[in-house]
Amino acid sequence: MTTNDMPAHEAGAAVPVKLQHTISGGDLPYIDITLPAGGTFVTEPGAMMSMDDGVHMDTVLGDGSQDRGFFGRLWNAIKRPFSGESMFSVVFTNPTDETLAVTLAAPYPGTVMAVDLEAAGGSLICQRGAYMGGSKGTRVGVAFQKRIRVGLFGGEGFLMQRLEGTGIVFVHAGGSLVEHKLTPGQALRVDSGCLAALQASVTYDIKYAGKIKTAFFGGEGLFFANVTGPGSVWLQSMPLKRLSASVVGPVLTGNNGRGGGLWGKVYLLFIIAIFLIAVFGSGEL
Amino acid sequence: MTTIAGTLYGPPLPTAGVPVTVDFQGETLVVHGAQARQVPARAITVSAGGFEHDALSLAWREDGDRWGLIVADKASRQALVGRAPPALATQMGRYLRKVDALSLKLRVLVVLAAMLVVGVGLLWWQYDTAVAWAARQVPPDTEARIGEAGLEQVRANQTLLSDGPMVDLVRDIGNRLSQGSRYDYEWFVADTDAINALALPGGKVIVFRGLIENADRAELLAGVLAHEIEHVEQQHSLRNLIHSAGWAAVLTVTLGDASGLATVLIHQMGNMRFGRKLEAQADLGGIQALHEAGIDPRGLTAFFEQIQGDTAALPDAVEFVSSHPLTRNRIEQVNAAIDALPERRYNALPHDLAAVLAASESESQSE
Repeated sequence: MTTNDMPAHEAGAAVPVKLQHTISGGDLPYIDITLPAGGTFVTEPGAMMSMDDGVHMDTVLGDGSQDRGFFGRLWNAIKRPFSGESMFSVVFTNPTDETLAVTLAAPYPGTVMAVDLEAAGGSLICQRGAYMGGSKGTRVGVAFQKRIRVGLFGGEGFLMQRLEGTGIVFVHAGGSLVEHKLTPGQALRVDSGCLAALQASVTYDIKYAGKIKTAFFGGEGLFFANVTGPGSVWLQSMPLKRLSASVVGPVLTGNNGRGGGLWGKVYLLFIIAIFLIAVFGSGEL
Repeated sequence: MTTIAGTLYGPPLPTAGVPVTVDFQGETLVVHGAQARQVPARAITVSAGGFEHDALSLAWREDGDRWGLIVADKASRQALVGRAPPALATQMGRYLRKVDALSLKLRVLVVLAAMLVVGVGLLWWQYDTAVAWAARQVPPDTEARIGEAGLEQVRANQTLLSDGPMVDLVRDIGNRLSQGSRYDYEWFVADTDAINALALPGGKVIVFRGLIENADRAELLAGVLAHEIEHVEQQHSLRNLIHSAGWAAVLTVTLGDASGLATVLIHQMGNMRFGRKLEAQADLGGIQALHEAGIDPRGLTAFFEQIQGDTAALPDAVEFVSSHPLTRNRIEQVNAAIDALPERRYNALPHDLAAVLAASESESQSE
């Protein structure tokens, strides 16, 4: 008999039992979480899809980690919107003697991955809003990009999320998630915006695409994100920005983006021009 | 002696690395613990890395495999740099300079951003003061040229008289009110029935004939003149122009089109309307000037009340009312300000408006 089969309260504090979960649903994923008696975990507001009768649901300010005073929690709550999360978290607890289930749903098409923070070196940096939930005690903070050029052209902005703790966290990103394990000094060029998560040991910089011709017509922009090992990086195949652009563009222009792409743009410019005239123009001119 | 804590990375190790303690012994980097190994210093490449871009990152090769050590916490970083052998001195120096430059850049940026925020805040808070200050920096001859351009626009629509009995009347009263001014005033009468008056930057004041014809006595005309002179003295046109030009500049920068600036300026030149706040300022300055010149300031409110009472009967006044909204509130404010003035005897103005109009009439017929 192994420790993993024991119920949480018998395993003792020294060996915390990781969240038992199953991720299913393909591109529109959901997570089934098994809560043992007395078990607890935290999610972002609105992530819950269903839960067994008897699960206790509570809303707390901040990320639900305990190691702060009131002002620490308040400051943490104020910072959270900058990392793309709500000021509040929802804490699920199982006060009964039975094992209960809670199901979480992803906010948009993509992939959910469960990361064991302990195995990842105690922390994980991910794109804004990627955190869905995880073990209680996980600290969700802001990771500020100190390189100005990376903040401007790296595709992830100046603010990312820093998840710290020893439990399991659920991270959601667009499309499929691919992990690259980089050895020390090994570099990988990534289309800006496709970086979903990285370990803190990874150096994240940008690299000039090299040729103006490539920059304009290569479809990748002027800069690549450049990640250098050691450490793991996770790439998303369909960032939310790209997904929404491919959906919203045709909705606005009324075509499928293939035939008449130019006319779509002209039409869009026309709409923008009318809007500008309506806002800034004046009948007296 | 500080223990130097770092994380060791290599192909057989987990991607998150393994925590180790390290030290330099002579020309060799010694890694302690389960992953004990010795690395010659000259094989090591030093760089700044990690998400924070300031971790001390050492890299080397063992049998063709890449290995690395990252020292993230500050005390350990300093200790490792301090104990580095001469072979690594250049690289360590470069690392320190890079980290210093990064933190300096970041500090400068934070200070600049803070200054920008404070600056924008101050500007928003003291916007009127800032615009008034900017207006005072405009040289008088530039102001006169702007006024000249405005005068051309008025000339396009109106016949402007610059001499004759009516202009003499306006000049005489106007000069009493604008004594000691830094502007050289020019007085005009627009030959039209409309009841209105205009002030252009640099001291060009235009009174419409309808105003003189509909004023009961000279004090009413003096009241309106005092009001218009205050627009000039307080540079209201110029302030409006600067206000619009500021927005035009913002538009130009955001839209990247310089024609926006021109459009707004041209639009502003033709638009002689002032906001309620500026009108109130001109009213208050006007009654002060009237008081100082010994002219009864009640002429201004008397004129307002006459116009207001006669609006239906006087379609010619529509233009004046539209550019000078006569709210009950405004008249009350002016009356209150007049009541607050110190006691003084006002002498009636010697001008006879009817005689001036008659003289003007006969002059135009004799031509």
